[in-house]
Amino acid sequence: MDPQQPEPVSYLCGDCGAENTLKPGDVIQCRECGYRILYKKRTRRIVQYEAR
Amino acid sequence: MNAPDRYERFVVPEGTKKVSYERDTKIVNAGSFTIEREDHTIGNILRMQLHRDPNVLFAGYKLPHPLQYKILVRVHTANQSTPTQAYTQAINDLDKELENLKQAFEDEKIRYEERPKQGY
Amino acid sequence: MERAAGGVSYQRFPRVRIRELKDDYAKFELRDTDASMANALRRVMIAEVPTVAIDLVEIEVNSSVLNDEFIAHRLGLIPLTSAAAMAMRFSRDCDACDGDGSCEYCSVEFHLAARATDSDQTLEVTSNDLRSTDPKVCPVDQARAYQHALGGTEPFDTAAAADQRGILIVKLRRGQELRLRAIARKGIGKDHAKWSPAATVTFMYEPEIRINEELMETLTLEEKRNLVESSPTKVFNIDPNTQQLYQVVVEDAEAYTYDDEVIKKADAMGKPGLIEINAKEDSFIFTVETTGAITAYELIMNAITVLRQKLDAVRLQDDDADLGELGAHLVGG
Repeated sequence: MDPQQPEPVSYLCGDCGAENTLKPGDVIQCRECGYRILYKKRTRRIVQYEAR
Repeated sequence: MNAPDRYERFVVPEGTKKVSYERDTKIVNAGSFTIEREDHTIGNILRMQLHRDPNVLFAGYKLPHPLQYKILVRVHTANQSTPTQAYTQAINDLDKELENLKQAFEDEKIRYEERPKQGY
Repeated sequence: MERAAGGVSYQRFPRVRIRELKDDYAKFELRDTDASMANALRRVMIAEVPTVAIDLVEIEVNSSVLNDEFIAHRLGLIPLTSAAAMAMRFSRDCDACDGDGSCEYCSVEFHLAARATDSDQTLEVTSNDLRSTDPKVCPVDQARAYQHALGGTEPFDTAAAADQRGILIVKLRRGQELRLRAIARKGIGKDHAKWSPAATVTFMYEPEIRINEELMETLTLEEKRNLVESSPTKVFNIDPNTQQLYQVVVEDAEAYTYDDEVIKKADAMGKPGLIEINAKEDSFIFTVETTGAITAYELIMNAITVLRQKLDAVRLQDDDADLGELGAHLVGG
């Protein structure tokens, strides 16, 4: 992966739930409804926890 | 965060002896046993069993600190015995008592389950 | 019995009487031993008899409202059938899987996959959704349901049989999903309470209650009633069979909580020594309740075994004895 060209990351809108793909420098705003709170998606990796 | 792992309470670290005996420097037939990774469960039954031995003049145990996972058992015996002899005898007696108790439970369970037939 | 070491035995021979024995409950009397032994057994039952419990959780998907560590913690607390635990290895000293704790000798794998399909009904994910890779180890409710379906030989507790829904882990809304793999390991209550097979283990001294009948007859019926009423628990009663005599009798000695109230009452009435109560120091009444991981009987038997193993571990090794006794012989002769 080229460090100069970071991969775009997709986020979920906090209001309408629409998926938004953002690159560095983009305005943080939902393209569907204009809401300004976006949430990062959960990792696709398996995560390990101690059951304690 | 910096809490010690819980297993440190019962796993004897490598290179450490489970039981060590140190003789008293001033009194004959007296000394203390340091038992690693044990607590009141063993300490108290050992102490009480040692008290049953008339050759034992003194027997006591202590847990010096709740985060130091060891107990000290101090024993003073009469001339006919020694602390190690009394200690070993106490363990043998407790072991036999428990062997006995196990058998008693097994027998009692059979008797309990037979109870309806014989009108208990 | 004479031993090679020359010691005389001061062994005791405890007696046992079982009063009640159910799958997860036992009540018994233990006599001819002392409080140290009773307490050692109680402590071992609570903290040192091994069971199996979920210890590691690998979460693939979790879109539920509960976070991953919350769900992992809940999974850990589910009691699993642990009859095989005594024979299992602790993963920390299992050499078959060099310490990674995931071989058949020291672990059992579980899988859980649940997804709320698009309907308006909330999906309840319970311990019944856990799939075990080892039929010997499964959540206790599953085992119970299975036995029930077979028309189990054990007499069933009606309350337990009525509730076959399992233990709730999380509720899923439409579209939410939970998918995970969990590893159950052998452990003891001292490490984490989730491994404790005991729900409660208690013992009490058997009370010995003596009524001074001569002094009792000097009381009026009103005074007798007051005396009986002074105990917070129903220990005494006025004999219903001797209505004419109005004799004060012990109805339930074991209801006594060593609160001294009746004794204080007798003193206040100016009748000291009317009632004498003392604890029999070599006689205990135990109640044992388990989580269902093992039966109450197994818990008692395993506690005895574990305590014997502990005693065996604290025996002096040959080299210890040499060190201490060589010097002792020189001084003591």
